Amino acid sequence: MTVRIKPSAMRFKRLYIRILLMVLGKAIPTASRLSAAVRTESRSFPRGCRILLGVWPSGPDLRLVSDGEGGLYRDTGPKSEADLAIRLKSLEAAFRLFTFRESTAGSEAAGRLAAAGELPLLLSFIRIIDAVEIILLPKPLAKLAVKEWTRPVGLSGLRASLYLSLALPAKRSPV
Amino acid sequence: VTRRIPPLGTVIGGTAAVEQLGYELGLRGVCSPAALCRVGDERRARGILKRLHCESSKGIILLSGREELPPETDGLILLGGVGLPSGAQDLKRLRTTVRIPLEASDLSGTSAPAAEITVIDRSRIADKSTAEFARSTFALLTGEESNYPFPLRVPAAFSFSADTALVLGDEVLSELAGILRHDGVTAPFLITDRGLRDAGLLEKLIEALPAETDLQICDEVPPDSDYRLVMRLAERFRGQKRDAIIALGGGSVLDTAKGLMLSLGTGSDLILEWEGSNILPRLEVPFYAIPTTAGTGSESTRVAVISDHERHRKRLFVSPFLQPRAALLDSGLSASLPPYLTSITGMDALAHAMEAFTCLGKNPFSDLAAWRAVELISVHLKQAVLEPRESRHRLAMALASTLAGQAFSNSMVGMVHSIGHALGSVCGAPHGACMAVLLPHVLHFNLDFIAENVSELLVPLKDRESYDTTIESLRAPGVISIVRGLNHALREATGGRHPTRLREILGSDGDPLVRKEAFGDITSTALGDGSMIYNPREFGAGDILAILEESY
Repeated sequence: MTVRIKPSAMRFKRLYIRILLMVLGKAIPTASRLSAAVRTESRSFPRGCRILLGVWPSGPDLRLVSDGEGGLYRDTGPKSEADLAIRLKSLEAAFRLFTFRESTAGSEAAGRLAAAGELPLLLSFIRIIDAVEIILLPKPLAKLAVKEWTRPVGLSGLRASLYLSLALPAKRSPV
Repeated sequence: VTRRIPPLGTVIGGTAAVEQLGYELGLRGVCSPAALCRVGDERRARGILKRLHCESSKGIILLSGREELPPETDGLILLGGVGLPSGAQDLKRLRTTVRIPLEASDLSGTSAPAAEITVIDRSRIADKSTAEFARSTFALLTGEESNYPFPLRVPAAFSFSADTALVLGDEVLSELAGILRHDGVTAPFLITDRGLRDAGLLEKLIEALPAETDLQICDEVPPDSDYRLVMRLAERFRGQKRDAIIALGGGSVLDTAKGLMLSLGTGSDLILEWEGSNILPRLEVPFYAIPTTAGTGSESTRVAVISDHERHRKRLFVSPFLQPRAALLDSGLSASLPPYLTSITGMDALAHAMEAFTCLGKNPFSDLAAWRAVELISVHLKQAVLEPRESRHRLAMALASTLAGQAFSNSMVGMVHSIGHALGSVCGAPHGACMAVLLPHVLHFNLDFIAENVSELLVPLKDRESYDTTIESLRAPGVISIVRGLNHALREATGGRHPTRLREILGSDGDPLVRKEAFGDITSTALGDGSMIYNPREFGAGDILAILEESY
């Protein structure tokens, strides 16, 4: 017997990841302006540095750009090669990461991520994702998503601001 | 006695392991994969293949029974216990073979790695069977049963890659001629350093080459080689029309050779563009490693660390394709190594093994390799320093270093290496010396997160009886004390050269290489080091400074 088998579309998981990346795409720029922890890390990205977080081969992705002063923005310009590209090797790996069953560090350690770019920037970006997840998620869920949960200063205010940002249109990049 | 450890290939395991395969096929340039299963297994095979997304949208051909493989097949997936079909040898475009067991019995009775990649998916294979497979594979490859006395832990997901054929023994350099002839290599490029030429080791290697070899030599690799040297060597390699790389030396030489392989394999003028993990395509340039120290394990790792002196950083490249095709571990080559170098490189191997056993990427395969490395180092390191002419100690340390390399390059290393790399970059401190000093301090820092794993190491570092008779809360601190004790013993054995504190790491002028004024730079460099992501405990600038102060 010979048959050709096409992979299943996994529409629900694809949609879920798209929504999660959209949420991160609004939360990270806001956090880069309001959270001291995030700003410490985002300052290391040079002006015009393009960051991509996505799913291989053609899954949903999140694109950000840095203003060089700590501000990160949704990159709405034409798609170009990212300076730092982090790709989950499969939709399932992305689903497990974004349903907080695996941490970003755990995913990398298990070989589920492929990363291209300067490692200090990759580490800074992972620390940014962790910091944003701590702000956005309830503590029990966030503890699953990060290596170690520590309460940031002014958590309630930060959380309210980040949730509010989800309802507002994304700020345009000045770069 | 010559010992041979064949390559294992890559094992991808855990939850959603099958889904990950699509990416791995893409890296290997597979566009038209075909899958084979036994008659009767079609339904289960379809279930697996539906989960597999490949770069090409054409899907995957599934064949059962005796159908012929399509001529365009460039990747072969063997499902269940099906063997390699007879027509596979005729497939000129075949780039890789993959094995996906459908049940535990498909894993047993394998006499050799049957494919380049083995996918052990948790939906089909229980963790207990995965652990048993790891044990039987370790025994099969190394020729010895593991003494690891505890149940192996299987994480939610892991990958393990060991693609280098290892040859160990007292006079194995003579094997090189056969290996080169087998691979059709006639014009290799040999990379080494001046010290090894002066010590007569280069001459020894040249004698071992086939008489007809057209050899070109570069002996300019400095102790802390950088990417600019790699680019110059790539130009020479192309200009002189070489067909393979041979590296004779320690960590700097081997990493330079890996950088050269990367540059040639990607055709890239600037290798820094390839910094990162799991992004390199297959590198086709044959590379043979002949280590002269027992420590870095670079001969068996999928990691290349290349310095960027302009930015005071170590650039990290991680890919299974950075592993040499073969490595010769000849005990005679390390006989002239000064005791101090034996001691610090040995502690480097211990740091690799202990971090591999305790960091985030640990898995059954890396655990078994790390465990054996700790066993060997515990017995042989001090003796190798005291009796450098005794080949059994040197050989044991060479095996320990290689196993530790296999372990850490898959489970990765953590904070000891983050700070150690920074000390090397900023102060020029020898890597092994930094590892020796930092290891006990970082184990202590991480202890709350890794107490159980560290406790287990009491068995290879002391004995099982001590483990059984020591109360639980004192086992891990006991392990840290043993590591400190080993450092002190090595200091005595090396006439005071082996450091137990950072201030005791001295330059050639006798002055300390690490100064407190540099702590700020060391800290900021360490925070950008790739190893920190794999450390079991989160750490920041304050934690690094505290460890630097404590260990000074």
